Amino acid sequence: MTAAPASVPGAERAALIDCLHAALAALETEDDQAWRHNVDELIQWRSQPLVQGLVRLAREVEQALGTGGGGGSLAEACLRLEHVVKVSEDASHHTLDLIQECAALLGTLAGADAGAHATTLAAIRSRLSEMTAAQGYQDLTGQIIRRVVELVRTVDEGLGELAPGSARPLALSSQGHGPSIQGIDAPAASQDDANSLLSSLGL
Amino acid sequence: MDKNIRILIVDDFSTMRRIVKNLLNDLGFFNTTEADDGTTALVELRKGPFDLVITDWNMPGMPGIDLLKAIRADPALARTPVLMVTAEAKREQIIEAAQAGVNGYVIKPFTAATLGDKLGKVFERLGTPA
Repeated sequence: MTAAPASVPGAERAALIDCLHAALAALETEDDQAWRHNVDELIQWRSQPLVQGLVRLAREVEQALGTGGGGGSLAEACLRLEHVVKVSEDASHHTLDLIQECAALLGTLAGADAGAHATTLAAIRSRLSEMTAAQGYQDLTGQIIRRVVELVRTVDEGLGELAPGSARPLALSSQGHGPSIQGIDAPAASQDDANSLLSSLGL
Repeated sequence: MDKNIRILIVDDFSTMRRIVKNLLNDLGFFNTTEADDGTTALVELRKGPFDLVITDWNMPGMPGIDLLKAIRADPALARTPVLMVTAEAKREQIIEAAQAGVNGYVIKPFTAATLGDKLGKVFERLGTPA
């Protein structure tokens, strides 16, 4: 909330002054109920433009979704994103199946010409291990998509409930920050950064 | 080194649990169990002794950092080495994990070589022949 009005109209200004005086008086006389009441009034005055803006935004989002033609709702958008996570998860497991099958096939070669091809076999095995590790992309992209889904769902629910005077703070339940995205998030520590940080801490 | 050690893999993504398990297999470790968050991990840990926990940080339910703290706070589990494998890579998080008693920290995405290297270092520091 940064857009405080530059000047407050006369009548409103007088009401605000009264409210502040009343809050101060209540605080001095330890009248907790009056203090809360006056402070709540000040908070409501201060958040009014934001709530009105959000209500307008909610209406616009609703209209845009209603007339977008096949765009669907925010809830449907979440289902589509979750489907993406599922498709990439299945593809990753399939790739991991194939990698394991390749490793097993390599095992059948070991007896035959093991000596002559030992170096090549070891090199292929090491690449299969790296292919396995590379499938970690599914976890990273999945985490990012799940965070977006949670955000969209929270906004969708919040917009539905929005009415002046019933401002419920929107809050995400996610733990941690999730994968850092270049150009959006602050640069994350690399493995080398982590190594030197840990060794400076005696690890 | 003893390849028969019991390892608990904790991650909410089935893909990542399988990746870690397969990479451990590639390194000769086959005695693994899986859990999908800190709460189910603690149930497994209390069922039987584990020699190592490899855990993600960001999971629904109990996150990895709380799992680490719970392990260190439980006299029966406190000495179990914990390797954090996570996309959480903020400086303050790495410090928090170190202060909570983590034994190693691998940042996702990681390579098979990095995981093998960090495992070796964990055992080396614990005085187990690596």
